[in-house]
Amino acid sequence: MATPELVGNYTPPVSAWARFIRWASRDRVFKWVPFVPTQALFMFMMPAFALLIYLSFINWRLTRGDWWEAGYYAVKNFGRVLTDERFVGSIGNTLLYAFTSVPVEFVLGLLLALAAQKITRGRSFFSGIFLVPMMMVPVVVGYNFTMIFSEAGPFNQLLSFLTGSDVRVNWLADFVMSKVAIILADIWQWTAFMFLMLMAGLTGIPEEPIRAAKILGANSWQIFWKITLPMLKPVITIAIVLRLLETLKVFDTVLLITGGGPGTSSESVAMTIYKVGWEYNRISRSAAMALIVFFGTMVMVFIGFWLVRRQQRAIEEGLV
Amino acid sequence: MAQAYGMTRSRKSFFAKTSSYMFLLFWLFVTLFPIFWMVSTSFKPPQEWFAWPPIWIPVEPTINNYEEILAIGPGGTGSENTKLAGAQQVLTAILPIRDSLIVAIISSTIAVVLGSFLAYTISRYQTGGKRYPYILLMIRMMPPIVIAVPVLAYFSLPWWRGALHDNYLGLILPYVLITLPYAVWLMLSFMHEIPRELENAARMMGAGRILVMRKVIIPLIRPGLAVTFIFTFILNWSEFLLAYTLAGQKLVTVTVQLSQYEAADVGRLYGPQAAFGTIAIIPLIILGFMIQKHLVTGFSFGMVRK
Repeated sequence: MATPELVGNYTPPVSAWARFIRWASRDRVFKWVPFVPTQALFMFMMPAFALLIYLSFINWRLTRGDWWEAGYYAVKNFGRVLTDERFVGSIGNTLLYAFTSVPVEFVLGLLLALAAQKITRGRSFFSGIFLVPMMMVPVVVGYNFTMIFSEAGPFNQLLSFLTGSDVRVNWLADFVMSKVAIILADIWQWTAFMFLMLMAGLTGIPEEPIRAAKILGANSWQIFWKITLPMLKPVITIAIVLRLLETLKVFDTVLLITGGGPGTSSESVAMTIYKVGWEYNRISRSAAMALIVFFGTMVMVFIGFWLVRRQQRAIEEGLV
Repeated sequence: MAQAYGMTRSRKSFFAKTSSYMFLLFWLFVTLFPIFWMVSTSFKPPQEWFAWPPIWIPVEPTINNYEEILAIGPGGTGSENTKLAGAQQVLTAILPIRDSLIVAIISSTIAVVLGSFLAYTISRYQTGGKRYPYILLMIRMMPPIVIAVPVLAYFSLPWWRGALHDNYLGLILPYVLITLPYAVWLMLSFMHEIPRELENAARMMGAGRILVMRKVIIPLIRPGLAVTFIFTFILNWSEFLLAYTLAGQKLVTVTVQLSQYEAADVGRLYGPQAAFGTIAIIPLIILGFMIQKHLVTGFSFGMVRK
């Protein structure tokens, strides 16, 4: 027969697992639980970035053995790369794509958002359909535009219809039109993003200032420039910065639409790095390019984040 | 006078409304046209691919294109006895779809589990400091080609070459790395909506950490988890560059296979490619409509909300 004390103080045996859970659920420990595996993943991938620097100083080709056996090449890669017209041109192209397509997307998106605000019926129908391009696989968008701009494509048909003559031009072999096709593909896919962001911003604008301005005799033009647009500023900044940073990565559509051609005239930076590294096997040279692009992107990202954070604070403080 | 004023007023708004509708309809046409063209091409027989004037609606509609890509030939390369003139074989869609599903589902699951957990500790304990989310976001802003060059060399080290080079794990790790920022930022915006008092109340009543997680947090963020999963799935499914550079021989994803029809020497196989494209985007469009309301949040990393 058990003694009374034993019955009263009986505690079930605690398994190691339960003790572990109890240990892990203390605040002090718990807050690091997801952080540790994430950091572990980063730690695992980190050496790769050190490797990027190493790769850019050796002379390694994909077809020539392993990279740890390749010879030292000093800064010759950088010298070659920086004087390479192709690389410099591709940087120019990437900036051209980003700084032409994003403003057009913004203007179109703003007009669409304003138009969608005006109408009474079918708003969700329109915005539902407009979203579809954003969900498309970029590769699919790419070859859709190759079909449209091909010699026997609907774009030529449209031009024939408009001009009344038989237009049969291979647009993608043209130095200017190949770039236009790439820009158009981006506009087609991402105007919806601007539209969505600006719609969200427009619905968040309070009615009072607009009504007050109307009573004071402002016309709709003044209201748009003096009230609506300033109030949209945070959303506009965030949308444009995110879109610009995203467009600088462009690769899929360029590869599919023009393949960088004619020649190398429409290559984006990512495309040049890929071609030099994988098609011409000069992976070390493409590592040097990647390093330069890395630092360039860092500068852009810092500027972008600085702009975004300022606007985010404005949103959080309710200034808008 | 007042009446006249009212009339110009209403006429003006009528004009504004009509032009708005016109513009929206115009963009509707622009949006739908490439998709329509692809779907229509996927039903065209070879002689209609390059016809002039272009054929909008297939004269002799056929499902041959779908049959070709959905067949698996010997060695998994695709149908060998193709009916398409000039083509030796048409690449199969089945194996890439399988591989893409494996890679996308596993990496999205890891990213969502890790990301939501991380978002929770970031929002409650500021784990990693105030700048940590921004550091994460910076990874996402890197062009993938900058990741691809060194990672290719890194993964070809003899210690793990077998597991990482041109293999599932070798794609899953970078995919988790680049979708984790999305997952964290999206989940952060969902986490901020859960009142802290709710948790504290449950803790006060004696519920343990696990119980609070199970009964309070997870039910409240379940929609957020679903949205984040779908979102990262869409990103992973559409990812092309890393799949093209880090894999591509043994492990071929949908996007890589799609680009192969273009490079084929046997001429452009518009029909099968369009059929494959149609198959590849249908799940994304369905998933996208499911999270339609959250797309703004998703694409803006939760910075802008509806």
